[in-house]
Amino acid sequence: MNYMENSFPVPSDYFGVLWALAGIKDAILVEHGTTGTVSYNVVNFDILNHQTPKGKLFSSGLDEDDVIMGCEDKLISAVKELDATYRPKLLPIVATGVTSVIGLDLDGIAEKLKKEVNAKLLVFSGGGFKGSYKDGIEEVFLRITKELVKAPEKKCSRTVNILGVSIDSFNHVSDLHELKRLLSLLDLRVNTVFTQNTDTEAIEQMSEASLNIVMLDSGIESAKLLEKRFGIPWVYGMPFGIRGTVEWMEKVADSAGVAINRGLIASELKTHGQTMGAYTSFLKPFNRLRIGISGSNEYVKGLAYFFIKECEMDVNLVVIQPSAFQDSIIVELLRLGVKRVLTAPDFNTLKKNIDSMNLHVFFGNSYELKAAAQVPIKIHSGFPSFDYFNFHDGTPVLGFRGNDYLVQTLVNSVNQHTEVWRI
Amino acid sequence: MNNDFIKRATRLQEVNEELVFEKTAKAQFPGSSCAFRVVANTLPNIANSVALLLGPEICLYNAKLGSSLFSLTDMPLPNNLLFLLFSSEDITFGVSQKIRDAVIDVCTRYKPEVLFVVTTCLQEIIGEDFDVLIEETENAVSVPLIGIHTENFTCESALPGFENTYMSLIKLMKKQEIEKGAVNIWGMRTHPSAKNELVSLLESKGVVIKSIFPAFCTPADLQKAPSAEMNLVFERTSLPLAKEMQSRFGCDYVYFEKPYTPDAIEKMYQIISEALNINIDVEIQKMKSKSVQKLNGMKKTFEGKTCVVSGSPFGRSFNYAELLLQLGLEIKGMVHSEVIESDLEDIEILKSCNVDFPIIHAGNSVQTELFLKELRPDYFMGMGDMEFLASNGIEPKNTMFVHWLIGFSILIEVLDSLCEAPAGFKTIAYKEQYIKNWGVAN
Repeated sequence: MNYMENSFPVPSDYFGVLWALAGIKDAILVEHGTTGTVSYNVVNFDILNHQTPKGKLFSSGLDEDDVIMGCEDKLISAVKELDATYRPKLLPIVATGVTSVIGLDLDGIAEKLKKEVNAKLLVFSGGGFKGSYKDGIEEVFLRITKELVKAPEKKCSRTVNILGVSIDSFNHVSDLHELKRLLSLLDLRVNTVFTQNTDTEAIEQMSEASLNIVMLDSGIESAKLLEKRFGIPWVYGMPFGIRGTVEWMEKVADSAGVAINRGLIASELKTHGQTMGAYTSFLKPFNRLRIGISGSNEYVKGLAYFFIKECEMDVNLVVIQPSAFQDSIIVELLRLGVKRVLTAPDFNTLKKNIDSMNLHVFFGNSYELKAAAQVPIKIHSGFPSFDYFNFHDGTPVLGFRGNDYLVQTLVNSVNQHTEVWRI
Repeated sequence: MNNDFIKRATRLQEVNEELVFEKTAKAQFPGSSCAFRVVANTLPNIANSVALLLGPEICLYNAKLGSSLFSLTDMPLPNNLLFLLFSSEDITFGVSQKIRDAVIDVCTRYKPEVLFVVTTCLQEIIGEDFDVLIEETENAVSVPLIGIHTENFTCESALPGFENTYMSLIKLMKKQEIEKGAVNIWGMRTHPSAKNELVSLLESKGVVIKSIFPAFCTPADLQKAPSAEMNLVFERTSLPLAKEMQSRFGCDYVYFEKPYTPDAIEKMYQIISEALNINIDVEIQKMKSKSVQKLNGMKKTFEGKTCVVSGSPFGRSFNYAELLLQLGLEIKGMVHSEVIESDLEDIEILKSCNVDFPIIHAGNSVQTELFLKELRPDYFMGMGDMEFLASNGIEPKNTMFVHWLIGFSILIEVLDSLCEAPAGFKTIAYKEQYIKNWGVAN
């Protein structure tokens, strides 16, 4: 049995629901449960770049009578009060473990309340028993896409949506900044990032975009639905490295039906391509470094590509997350030249693999980096990251600027850990 | 005042022992903390123990993050929390066998001196008899098992979590020969890097301190706790434990909530010195005189200034308000959760000072902000959103470090904290003012 003393309980669908909805500015969430759950959530929002659920998430304040009698009065009062006080456009009702177990019919309550409130009510009844946080995020994305996106009044040929990003997405502040900059080089405007710093109006207008760019796989089902309903094509993946970013931009331009200004791209390469030279040294054979990578599946694929194909280094170990696409991801990574791929290993298995490979560099989340205690260079690259903030917008891993940042980080880290050349 | 809830707010002069502060809103944020959370935060104070937390990911993930954040501090808390997740199948088919297997496995693998088994709301709702389960499983292991209940839906606050934790310790305690002049200190959080004022003072008079909790002890320390002649109780949540120890082991106790004013602190020390038959008058007068001098020196700074006070579930909040009056501050309002018996004397003192102010329930930070916006004090004596406070011209005065202190050191810490805003606040205030003056361009 794994008691997770060194790892962490994977957050459930309940958290995914909160995190995916938290980025919608005119949504206010009410959860039916004890106040302790909401109060405790201040902790997990705080590690997501020092965010707070204040003014966004409320508790119905369920008590013993409600548990025994299954009362709904407190929830009804809370919903009405929030609707009247804050006038949100969207008012999701979120189940907690307690409400799921006592079997309260939240959909029925929402149906009754529909005529009495102005906000659109959406019920998320998983209560933490429907899967992992990724399932919760996916559920929100799909429900919101189904229920909020309207038929387009017009089509905007130079507008795109970015899908699959929620407040828990690692390094999203910098990566989105760079992604928007890259898109502006293609003369493409971002309608909205679904669901980060967005609002219901922007979501309603998602159908007007000419392309959906899916950053993380939790946005794929929404992209498919938007394609089916409104014929919007979509591309999936993130741009890593120099060549990788050019290829990504070509793919995006092609899918959006826009021409590329190659002079602009050349200018980018002139500015950002030179950093690759930092690896070339008679004294420091970077290509002998042994690297391990963990993070979101999109991040690990991108980083593995970057190090193997563009930096011409070895990637000895990659850790991927469970996913519907995990088999094809493993094949892709092994073809790329990754020596070993593990899927969500427990702490001891991960540690054993890291130690046996004598890695010099490991990219991972806060807990995985503890498994890599013996590895000289440890770099944060994934969620959860309780000991490392990413609120600065100038630390991208994606795109041309991400190339600079990655090279800079790696070279500086190696210079601080010269023992890597001896082990 | 425009806000309805301020009009409805209780005035100080109306406060009596039966009063319950009305909640300011139906939808609450953040509401009161939960019993499970305080238990998960408290048990790492017991070295060589392991706590097995039972529940769904909702509770366990947050508990893990909480303990991980402590690992970033200089507090030497052991990584002793283990997690047993409940799935929907467990809820349907029962969790008893799963818990039993896990307890036996944990005892074998981790060999703790004691294993705490901690419930969450869910365990309590399933309805399986947790206490019987613990009792039966104890026969199969050689480690003392202690079950702690944390059903949050049955209480208005997290305090039962503390109370249940304290009470659970009784199971570790064994009848001892009473050691003259030895004490336990219950309900005092002591930072390990510094001996606090009370501990230093008592030790200088030859008093032996057997156990301090919650502050870094071992099961062996707790086992010997009944050898103390006296329990010094500093939080009401540890009072049931002290009463139980009196009844079972004959240990006397004295109980105080933490005082803030010089006279109240002096009185606390007088009671302690009488109870322990030690003479600490010289030391007390020296510390009191230094504190009073500092307090008097600060009066000019606060004369004519106004504040709203945030009460605390621990310590004498109304005595704290009296200290602010002594500094010359005008109290425009208070945010507080409940009145306890030990507050009543302090409330009468405040009433006799001819002050009256509205008091609202502390459970909802959005309403607290509306309250502050309406009252516009110079200072908010408590934790708050620094951007909100800055944009409304209210300076926060954060006295959270008193959490670790006792006696005159609390008073000195409070006075020091009142002298300055939290780090970074001035820059936040500059930013908010700039935004207010110029607006944010689209």
